Formats: sequence, C-alpha cells, structure tokens
Amino acid sequence: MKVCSYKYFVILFLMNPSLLICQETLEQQYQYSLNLFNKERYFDAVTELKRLNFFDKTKIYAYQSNMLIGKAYKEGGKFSDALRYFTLAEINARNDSDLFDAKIFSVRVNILRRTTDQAFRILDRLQFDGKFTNRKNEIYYWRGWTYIFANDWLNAAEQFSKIDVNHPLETLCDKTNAEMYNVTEAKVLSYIIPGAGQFYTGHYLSGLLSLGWNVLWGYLTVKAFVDQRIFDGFVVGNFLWLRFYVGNVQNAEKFANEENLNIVNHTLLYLQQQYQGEKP
Amino acid sequence: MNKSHLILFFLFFIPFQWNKAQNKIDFHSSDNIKLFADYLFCTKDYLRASDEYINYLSKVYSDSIEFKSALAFQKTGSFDEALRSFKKIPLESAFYLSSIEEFYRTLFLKKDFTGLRKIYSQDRTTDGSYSFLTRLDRLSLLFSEDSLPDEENFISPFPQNERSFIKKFYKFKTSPPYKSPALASILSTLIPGLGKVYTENYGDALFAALLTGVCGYIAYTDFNADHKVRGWIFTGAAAFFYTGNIYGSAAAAQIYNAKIKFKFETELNDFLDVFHYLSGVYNFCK
Repeated sequence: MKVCSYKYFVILFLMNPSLLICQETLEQQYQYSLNLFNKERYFDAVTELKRLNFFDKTKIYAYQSNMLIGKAYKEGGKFSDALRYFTLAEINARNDSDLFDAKIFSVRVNILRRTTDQAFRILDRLQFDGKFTNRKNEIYYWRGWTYIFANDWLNAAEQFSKIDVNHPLETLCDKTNAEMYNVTEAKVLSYIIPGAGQFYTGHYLSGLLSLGWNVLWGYLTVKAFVDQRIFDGFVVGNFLWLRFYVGNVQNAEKFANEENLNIVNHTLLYLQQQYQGEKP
Repeated sequence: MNKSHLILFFLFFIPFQWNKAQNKIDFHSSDNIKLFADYLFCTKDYLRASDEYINYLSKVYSDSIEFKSALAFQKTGSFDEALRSFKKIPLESAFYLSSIEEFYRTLFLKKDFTGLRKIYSQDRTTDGSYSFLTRLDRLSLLFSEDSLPDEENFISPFPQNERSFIKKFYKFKTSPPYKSPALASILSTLIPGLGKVYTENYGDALFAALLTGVCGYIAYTDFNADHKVRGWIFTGAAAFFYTGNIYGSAAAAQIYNAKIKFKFETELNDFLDVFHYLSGVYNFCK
C-alpha cells in the first residue's frame, strides 16, 4: 500500500497544472520588468511592461506599469509617448498620491519638451485642488523649474523662495537674472549714442566701428545739407547713415540676446552637470 | 494512506492547484506571443511587434504572421528585413499577391528606384493585371534623372482620378520651369536688377536698380563738382552694389530652383500619401 501511495503522489505531482508549462504570475512579470527598468534597459522594460499591461485584465498593475513605461519613454527622450502613458497612469491611479505623482511627471515631461504653458496649466490645477495642499512645496519646486525653462528667472527665484528663502535654486536664479543684460536698455543706449549698446554688452570693437560709421555718414549727410546739396543729403542720409544707424541698434539687440543666451546656457549646464537636487 | 484519503486529496489538491495555475499566465506561449504582437502592431508599436512576430515565427510558421512581420519591418524602416520576409511568402498563400505589391512598395520606400525598375523589367508577373507595380515603376521615374517614356505611355496605367496629378508631375519632370543662374547674372550685368526681375524678385530688382543708379549718379555729380573723395566713395558704393546685384541674381535663381523643386517633391509625396502608394490598406486591426 505504501508503494502504491508514493505512486499516487508522483502522479499528483505530475498532474500539477502549474508545472505542466512555464508560467509566471503578474507579480513576477512586474518584478522582471522593474528589474529591466532599474538596469536602464528601457526598450526591453517597455516591451515587458506592455506585455504585463496587455495580460493584466484586472488592471492590478495598470498604475505602476503605465508610470514605468512613461518614465522609460522619458529617459529615451520620447516625450509625447511618455505623456500618453503618464495620462494612462493618472486614469489608473489608486489614490490621490498616485494621481499627484503622475501629474508631476507630466509637468516634468512638459518642461523637458519646452511646452511650459501646458506645465503651468497642470500645476495651476494641482495648486487649486484642495487635496494637494500638503504637497504645495513640490508644486512650487516644479513651477520654479517651469519658469527656468520659460526663461523667466525672476519668477523662478520667487517660486523657490516660497519653499525656503535660502533655497540653492533661488540663489542661482537670482544670480542668473542679475547677470543678464537688459535688451531694451542696450537698444535705447544705441539709439542715443551709436555703439553704446555694444559697449554695454562688452563688444567694444564693434561699438567703436559702429560709432565710426555713424559719425562718417552723419557728417557727410549734414555737410551735404549745409552745402545746399539737398538730393545728396537725402540719398546719403537715407541709404547710408540710416542704414548704419538702424544696423547699430539691431546689432546691440543681437549682442544682448547672444550674451543672455550664454549666461542662461552656463546656468543650465551647471544645473545639468552639478546640481544634486531633483531635475525634470 | 487508504483510498478514501487519496480521494479527498484529489478533491482538494487538484482544484487548489488548478486555481493557482489559473492566476499564472504563460506570457511566452505561441498564442500569447501572437496576441501580444498583434496588439503591438495595432497600437503602431511596429518595432516591438516585429520582435514578437519573429519570436512567434521561431516557434510556429504562419504566412499571415510572416506578412505582418514584414509589414512591421517596413514601417520601422528596416527595408532589407522587410524585403527578405516578403520574399518568403509562398505562392499558395492568400498573402502572395499582397506580398509582391509590398515588396515593390518597400523598394520604393527604400528609394531603390534602379532596383525597382530592374526587377520590374525582369518580372514575368508584370503583364496587365499588375497595374499597381507598373504605376510604382512609373512613379519611381519621377524621383530619378532617367529619361521618361512618352506622356501617353507614362499616364495610361493610372486611374482617371489620378491622371491630372500625374500629368502635372510629368510636365514638371520633362520641362522643369527652372531659372538659369548664368542668364540671371548676365541680365543683371546688362541692367542692374534685371536678373532679379527674371527670378521674380521684383522688390529686390527695384531696390538694386535704385541703389546702383543713385550711387553711380552721385559719384558722377561729385566728380563733376570736383569732390574727388566723395566721388570715389560713391563709385566704390556703386561698384559694390553692382557686383552684389550680379552675384545676388545668380543666387536668387538657385533659390528659385530649390523652391520649386521642393514644392514639386512636397506635392508628389502628398499625392503618394493620399492615394496609398506609400502604405497599403489592410484590415488587421478592427
């Protein structure tokens, strides 16, 4: 009888349906996908997460899988795809915290793809939603980053100061804003004294040249009128002096914009390479 | 363990184990791979779909999956893989004719127009019924520098609703309305601004004529009035504008040519898109 019972056990063991074929649970599939994601194998991670999503009919892992797919697409620079999956994560959010996290990731992607207006709209909705009053510092933080990418450093500094008056990003944004040239000021200076706008932005040679050309053509124009050569005066004044005068103002504006771009790029480079806090 | 124990064991153990197995999914069974691949294909994730189809084909052969896999390759721009897969569709398959069309379409998308025409000229199946292939052969000529057949022969394979477009493309290709940079320069050498009139930049033409003429006139009056320094300054300015205008006219002709070539290519690509020459219509995703 004992031998017989062992036989039965062997038969039972072999009849175990879970051993008949290689199968995994949704949990195992999720862990496998997460592992791929953590190893930065984003393409494979997205494939396995999509597989999980497809077979997860009860949507138990819908939030986590959509969030991870969104994050993987974000890492790969596929921002539109990332946004689509963060929106799906929002739909499948299990609680308010999940919903907030998914929306913040949408903001971060919008910052990266420079659709800052859309980022502001999402942040506005979060700020006016009573459910998220305990997470207002996060809203200020990402609003600050949105202002940075909207090239509005003064407002960015203001947002970071709401978190902490000595917030490192507040100091950085204030410093960047102070370093930047006022484009209107550069233009007005060049309107008053040709070349002065170029001097203001540190382009001394260009300023001197601009001043020289304007003095030369201005002198010839005035001289023509004084000598009663009215036609000459109009032609030289219109085709040469005015051309150099307008060019001088445009030049001052161009230099101010170029210098501002350099300053902003320098700050962004610092943020990208050295800033330790959370980034979009 | 007596028999009653065993019966009880069977009654409890098997349903429990069966339930456990029900919670498990064989993600990599052939059927599930196919289901998932079809889902990816229909959500236009063609790169992953092609991977899954290949995985499926390594286990089970199916002409429909081979065809879809080839389509997925084509959509991702992996044209060589697509061509290889389309070639594998057997003659008896329901997808055989479609695979021939897609094979040609892939060559077209790959911009291998020489290869397309070579295969078309050797293909025995190109007589009569394969008008789509003939049309692709004709359209490929519009993208190359090869000579075109006569207008009637070129247009005849196309249906009536496409012929007006094809006629327009044929005309552009046989006698492109390009402007000659050399002629533009010569015209501007003779009369400042005339080259710009030829390239249809009328505002520039007027400005160039005025600037050169006025500077020349001032230089002339200055020399007459014995203002030599001013005379030379304006002579220099007139010479600068005169040569600039000659160079500008040649450049304007090149820009004009580039613009109309771009317009032609945009219209041709729009035509190919609207009339489904670039992608076939299938009912795989209902």
